[in-house]
Amino acid sequence: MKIAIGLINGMITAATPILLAALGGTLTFYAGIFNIAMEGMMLAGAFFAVIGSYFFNSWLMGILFAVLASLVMAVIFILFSVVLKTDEFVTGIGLNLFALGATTYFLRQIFKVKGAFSGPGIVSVPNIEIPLIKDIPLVGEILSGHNLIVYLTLIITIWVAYLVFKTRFGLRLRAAGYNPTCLDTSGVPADRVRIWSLIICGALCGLAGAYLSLGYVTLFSENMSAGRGWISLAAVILVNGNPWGIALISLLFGFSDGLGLFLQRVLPSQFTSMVPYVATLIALFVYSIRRKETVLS
Amino acid sequence: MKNAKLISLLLVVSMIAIAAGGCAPKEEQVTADKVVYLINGALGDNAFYDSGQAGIDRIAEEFGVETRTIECNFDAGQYEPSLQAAVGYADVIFVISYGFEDQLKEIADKYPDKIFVNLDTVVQNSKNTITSVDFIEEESAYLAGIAAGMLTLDTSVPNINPEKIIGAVGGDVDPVISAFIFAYTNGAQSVDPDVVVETKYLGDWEDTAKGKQAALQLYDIGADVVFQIAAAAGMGVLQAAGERGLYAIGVDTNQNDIVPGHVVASDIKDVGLAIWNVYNSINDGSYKPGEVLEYGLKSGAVDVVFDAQVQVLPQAIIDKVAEARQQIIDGTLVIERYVP
Repeated sequence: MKIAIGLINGMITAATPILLAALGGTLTFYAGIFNIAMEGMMLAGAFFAVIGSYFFNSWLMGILFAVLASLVMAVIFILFSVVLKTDEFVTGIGLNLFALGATTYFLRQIFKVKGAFSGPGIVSVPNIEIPLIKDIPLVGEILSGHNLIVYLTLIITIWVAYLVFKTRFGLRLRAAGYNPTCLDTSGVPADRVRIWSLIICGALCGLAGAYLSLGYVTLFSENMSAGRGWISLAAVILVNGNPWGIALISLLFGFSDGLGLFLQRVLPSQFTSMVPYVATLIALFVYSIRRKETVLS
Repeated sequence: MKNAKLISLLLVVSMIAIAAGGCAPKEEQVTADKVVYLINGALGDNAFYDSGQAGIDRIAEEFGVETRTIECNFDAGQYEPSLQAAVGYADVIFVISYGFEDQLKEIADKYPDKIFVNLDTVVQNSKNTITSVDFIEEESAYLAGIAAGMLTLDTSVPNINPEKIIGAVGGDVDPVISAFIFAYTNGAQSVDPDVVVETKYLGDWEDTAKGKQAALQLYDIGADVVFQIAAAAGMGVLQAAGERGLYAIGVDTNQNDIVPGHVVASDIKDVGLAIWNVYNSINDGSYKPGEVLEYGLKSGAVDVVFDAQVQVLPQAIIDKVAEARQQIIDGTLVIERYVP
């Protein structure tokens, strides 16, 4: 039983950063921007979260720094792809490489270490025990005791779903993607909507980074986003941007990651390492078949 | 087109230069005042690679040699150019060659006058010029196994459960990691044959979050001590121990103070000491190319250390490990080597 609970908790913790970044990515997806810079934004967030937390001895400052750093990345993206109309793909690659190089450089310059920085001076984001629920057997162990950012993510998922489908901003956001000329002629500049989508995306990726370095573990290591930004991009494309679909895919990915490690008791580790990717392919297959059926009917 | 011509010209010139260099009579003695430390990974793991760097810094200071470190960052595309750069600059090359053993053999055959010292595995080229430093990691891992095996039986220590399960987290499946786990298991089972060792392999040496997840799974199935052998990713294992109030064993350098009170021991591998020893032998003339140097407990290059700010391990365990350690050094206890 403990093992099953461990797997479920592992799924939730592994899904959180992917989900946060993907929710940001989906806003830009609806706005018609091919944004691949989530990986870099997350990495910058993870590093500056440690900076804020370490120098101000406060996790709140850590989150603030993470969001600010990620916003700076978003502003660069806006400057190039929205204002100067450069290619989004190239801008995204540039930002991702820049984030990797810059965080590695600052890590060495500021903390005089290479590889990883950890220390008692870094204050991590606290875990939250929910009163009453935590005393229920089983359910309490699964629902309670997670990191604060995990609960924030749940709220943000609901908020993004509401924002996209139920608000005027959401309508304009989708219009910016479907038909920007129409939106422009109706008096709302599509570029302004796009800028807002990127700013929110930046903030959410910053939060995802803070979760990596102050939530799950309390340290920064070079390239610690480890491809999670790319997986979030895959999640967005896989379900055509639907926030609930993204949440499911993120959980699926988080689960299969943990399952892969778990299956090592019976299978060679070379095979179990494939589990997350095989799961993604299966999800893609199932999703495409379903979509084909709905198109035909 | 013009570029292609230029490149082919350069190629021809460099080939002639290499050929001429090979034919030229070698009169001057082999000097050894330029040293390269070439690693497949990157510094900053607080462990294996950093301990080698400490040895390089030490020889730079003691012998006044020029040293450089080339990090390949696990990028296979960097291996060959880095080797080329190393032979172009240095006389002595200390190399950690996981993943590019074959390129190393080729280069060593091409430059028989250079001194190649391969660390941590045995690599032999056809001209037999590569010296290999082979650590007998089984000896120290066996001691780590004894410590873990005794700790999981000692329920008087806080949070130790009655189940006889211990864990290990490896970076990947390779002969060195397998040797560690083989001897760790033997050591633990020498205490009580019923002790079970559960193992997780990350397939990654840097993803700390994955390291933590693997350790949490091991704690969930009832392990109370987890031995990490996963370089930087292992930092996640140590943090998992702190979070659960359980125990971990560090690797390569003394990691006991990273999470005080939860890292009960560290299985150290002093790559730096081996580098210093080999360089010293080059310096005093006793160096022989092509040797396989075995560094075990006796040499001090591998060991288990317990020094920590907060030590929770009962003295009985520390004493028992010290006793076994002495027996291994005296030769009365022979540790079975891992055969791939």
